[in-house]
Amino acid sequence: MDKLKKFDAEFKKLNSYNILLFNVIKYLTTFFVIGTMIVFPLIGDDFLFNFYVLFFLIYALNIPMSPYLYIKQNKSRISIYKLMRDTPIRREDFVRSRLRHFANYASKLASACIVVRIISIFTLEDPSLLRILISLAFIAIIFIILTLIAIFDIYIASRY
Amino acid sequence: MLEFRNVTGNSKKFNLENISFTAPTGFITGMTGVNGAGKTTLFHYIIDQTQLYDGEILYNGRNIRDNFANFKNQMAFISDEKRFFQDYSIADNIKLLSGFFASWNNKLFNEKLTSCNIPLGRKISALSRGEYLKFQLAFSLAHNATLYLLDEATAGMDPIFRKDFFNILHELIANENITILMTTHIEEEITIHMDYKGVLKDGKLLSFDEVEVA
Repeated sequence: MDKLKKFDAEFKKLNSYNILLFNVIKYLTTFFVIGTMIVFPLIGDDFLFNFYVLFFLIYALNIPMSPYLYIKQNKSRISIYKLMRDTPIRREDFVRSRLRHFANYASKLASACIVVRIISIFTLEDPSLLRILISLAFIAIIFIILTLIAIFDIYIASRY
Repeated sequence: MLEFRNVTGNSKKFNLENISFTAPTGFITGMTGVNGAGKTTLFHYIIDQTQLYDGEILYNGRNIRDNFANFKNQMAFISDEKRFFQDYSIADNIKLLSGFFASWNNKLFNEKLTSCNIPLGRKISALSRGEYLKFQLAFSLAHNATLYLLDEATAGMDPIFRKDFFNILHELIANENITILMTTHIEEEITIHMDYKGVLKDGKLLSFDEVEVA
């Protein structure tokens, strides 16, 4: 795993422009998602609209993982693992390191979303147990789907 | 010594069937066969951890899957497939990848590359086919590989470069405990340069014999 950390550090240096671009997208996405939590989920007639927002959030949150899994080469997206495949790196270690990276980002963001949502309920809306439960379920659904997508993505990216 | 023992693939697509042979150390073993015979698949069984098969592939008496990372430390796969970080320089590729190997000899790598007149600053994608093969050979030597797998490495090479290339391989097996397994279409290569020859057809090993000296 230390070898992978060194690789990532070196890769970030070599790929700094791309990583910077993805970091800008990551922070914009993060602020947007946290901001969304002030209003969503809507409860009442507009409940269905939540699902559009939900899928958009999942799509947006998936972007920041990309530079740790893929690289653009010869105008096509290619898995980083595939380029390292002849080195003695274990597939399990690659998968674990990418999952750890994802978990680190997703857990912090999920916590921030819960805090913002609850503050919003108590300051801007009529607080009720049902409202809190629906909000927590909304956030849970986002992050469960996001985790499943990340696991699938990492699995695909780490095939030979 | 690389040994296949009754290896049969479990893929839904193309599979090798009941492959058994031994590529001994200190010799060049060649695999031949028409396109689609299973030559590249044979290599994939060795280098790809996710390939499923029954039977065993042993390297120096140990099943390669028992400690795959350790096996990869000893193995070099040389082909014209676009591996490595093509848009980065050789030096950057070394910075990224050399750290994964248990023993990396940077001095040896630089020496070999200099002897081939390949600058460290050149992008991998800018290397000619011959330079790319030489780079891979230098890379393999630097991580102290003892098993060389060469997939159609000499296809399309001009005769002078091919002669140079085989001189390097013969030097390797003369000085170190090296096992070389390579695939080729060129019959002349087999009779002149190889010690053992296997013939694959439709995923089956039709024959495996010592090459008779002409």
